[in-house]
Amino acid sequence: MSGGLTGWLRGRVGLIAAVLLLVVVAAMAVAPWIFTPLDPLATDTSQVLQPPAWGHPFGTDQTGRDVFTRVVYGASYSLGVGVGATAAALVVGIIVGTLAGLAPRVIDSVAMRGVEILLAFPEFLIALFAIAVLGPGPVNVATAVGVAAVPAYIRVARAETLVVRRSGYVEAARGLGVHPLRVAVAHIVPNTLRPLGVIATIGIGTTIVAAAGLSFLGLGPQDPTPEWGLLLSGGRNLLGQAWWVAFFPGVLITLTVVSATVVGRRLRRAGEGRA
Amino acid sequence: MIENREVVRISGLTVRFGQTVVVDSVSLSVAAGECLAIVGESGSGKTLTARALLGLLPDGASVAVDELVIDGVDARRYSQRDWRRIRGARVGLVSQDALVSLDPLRRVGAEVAEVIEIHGARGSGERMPRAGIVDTVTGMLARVAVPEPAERARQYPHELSGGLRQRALIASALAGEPGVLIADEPTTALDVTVQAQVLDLLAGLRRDGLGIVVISHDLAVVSGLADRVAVMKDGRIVEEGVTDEVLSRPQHPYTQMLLAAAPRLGDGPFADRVAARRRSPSIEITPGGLDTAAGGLLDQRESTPLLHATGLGRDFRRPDGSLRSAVDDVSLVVHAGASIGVVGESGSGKTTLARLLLAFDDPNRGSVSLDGVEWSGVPERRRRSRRGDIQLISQDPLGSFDPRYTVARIVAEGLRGDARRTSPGDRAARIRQLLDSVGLDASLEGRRPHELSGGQRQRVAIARALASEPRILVCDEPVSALDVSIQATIIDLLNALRRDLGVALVFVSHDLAVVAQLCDEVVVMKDGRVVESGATDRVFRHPEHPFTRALVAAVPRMP
Repeated sequence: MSGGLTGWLRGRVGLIAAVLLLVVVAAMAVAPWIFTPLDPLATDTSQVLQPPAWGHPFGTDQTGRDVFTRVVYGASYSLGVGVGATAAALVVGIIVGTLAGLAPRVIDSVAMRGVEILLAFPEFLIALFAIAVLGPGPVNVATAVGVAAVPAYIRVARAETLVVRRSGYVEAARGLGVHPLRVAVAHIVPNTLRPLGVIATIGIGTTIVAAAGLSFLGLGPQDPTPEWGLLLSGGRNLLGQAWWVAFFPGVLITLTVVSATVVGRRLRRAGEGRA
Repeated sequence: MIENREVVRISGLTVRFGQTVVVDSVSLSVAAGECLAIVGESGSGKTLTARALLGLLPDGASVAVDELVIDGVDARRYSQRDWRRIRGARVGLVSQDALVSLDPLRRVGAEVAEVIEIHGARGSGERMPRAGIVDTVTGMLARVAVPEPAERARQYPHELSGGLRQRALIASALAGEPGVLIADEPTTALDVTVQAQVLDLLAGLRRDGLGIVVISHDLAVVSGLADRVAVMKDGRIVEEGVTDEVLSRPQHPYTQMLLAAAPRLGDGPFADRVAARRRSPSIEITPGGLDTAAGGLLDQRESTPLLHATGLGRDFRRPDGSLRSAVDDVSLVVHAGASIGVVGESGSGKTTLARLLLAFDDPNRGSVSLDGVEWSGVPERRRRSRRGDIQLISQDPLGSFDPRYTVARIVAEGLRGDARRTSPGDRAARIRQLLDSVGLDASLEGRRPHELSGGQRQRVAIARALASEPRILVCDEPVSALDVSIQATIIDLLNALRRDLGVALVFVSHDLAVVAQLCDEVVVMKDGRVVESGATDRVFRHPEHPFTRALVAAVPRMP
């Protein structure tokens, strides 16, 4: 069966790499100390702007902090914001979308027109607007990014609800005299989750980029905090002399987002195959 | 003599998927002007055999064949490219669902013209001038008896009726002038009167010298068309011979079983069996059941019908804004323990009527009462507790199950009242008892719907309906998606439920034979109205309304 194994591996290399990378990033976020013994905030004026070397694989920045360590510790912020904001957007999206899908047509129409207005603006603009209202800060960045992501989830949740609502099993439950609330909780919501889970996986990547973007503009966590967007923006002015300060955080943002997208698309294809 | 020229000769055809043999050394031949029917149930390999004649086997199938001659050419070593050259030109395909097979964005004429453009006039490979193609297309549509062919050619598939679509599909299959036509369940999606016309058309083509291979699950459908029948089971041909011989003196037990299982109008083994069952005294009456022989109950039933629909009407808006009455002025009385068949062609309003009776939909006119109490037009919360009294058995049980649920959970959802609130142990016992009553093994409890066979799914659906101890089952084409042998067992089961539990049946079906076996009374619908009703025997033996007469006459009969 070794032929079968190589055959199975072929075409899945990208997926396996993506999953591995996400696992590593998740481990960095949860337990950064196993990757690096150094302190992300410790400055060392004797080691300013050192290029990548054995002791500092990603080099050091202008205050002599180890870039690798800062990137590792930054994972928790970026992933935290990405996962947290996506989860919050998902929950709100499911509740609002399901209610809209089940509501009388007038209410549904009003809600959907509102969602369409939100969708008409670029997500990032909405996030910026939310920050302008809430003020800068790490929690507000997560909130802003989540708010920006919600309309898309509402739409999908509503569309799935409309499909499931017309399904034979919802009619069957109704025919058995099951209470509508129970039908919604026991049949409708669980059966809309699969496609939502898939787009949420892809959404994590988008959210990380959006959060890093806000931080890059200085609207998120402030300087000593190691956050990928902030690291990128800090290294921006040094690109000519010390490319590594901005390069490695940038690479990690890119790889994480691409991996999340690869896994998400794979899940989607698997879901379509099943349907 | 051209009549004896063989147009298909295949021997030792074996198709495998991995280790599984799905077609096992099948050999058959068809002469010009001859029709061979391949009959079998789902999974018998009949469709794969037909596909092999077109080089259209799915990916992953490995094929071995000793001889494969199609319209004079040896196609054993054909590449996909070679197959494309002869498909349409030497062998044509007519599939089951014309609406799916025809490109919805292309006019019917273009569909037929494409074949001519690819293969040239009369399959010669020579290009044809534009005007010539139009004439040929019109001629082709006329040949398959499409009325006003020039106009029809400019229409889109959705503008044509099912029968016309099937004709257009046959026209496109014939446009390249093939010597052989493969028809895979060509009439299964059609109404019985339309089916009769399409079968006539195929018979005419056969007389003109075309070789036809028709694939069907229905022996009665092919009995009038086919010269010879090959019965397939588990990938093998178990019996082959002249149609009359096979049908009147089946040799193989499987053929005998198929014939016995097929419901038919008039007399036959199935009718005898059902009649015997009806005559047998009801000895297994369980609490809540009704003894149909008890005079006192009869009187009571006369006074308050279980389900009473009066003057029902339901309108739907057409895309252009005008109203169409799907159901118009329909009245129906269902007494406890009765069995009423509702027959009609597609679009006659049968399903809309069923939905109105179930109060899944409210009528625009008229009303329904259940057990003497208002049932239609009342708020859902007042209906909810009574819904268990009237249950639906649908054509598509799989669609009626939450895909995440196990069999046990599906059935449990039907429990109501005390049965729902009881201890988990008692509930599990009740579920096992329900599964047992529909002939399902308790070991299936943990399965999910997609892991069950079609017959098992329908049994689970019935078990769930029974869980709420209904007094009426509304069955909407409950057996039309099932193989005949499975059909017979489900019909037996419904009959037994009616006899033993006194459950009334409203049985909606396009299949007159099934209704004849199961129902005491029948209602014939056409265009939303009831055109005839009465005792089943009387209506089917001596139909009064011309439409009923046409319907009864169109039912395919075995010789």
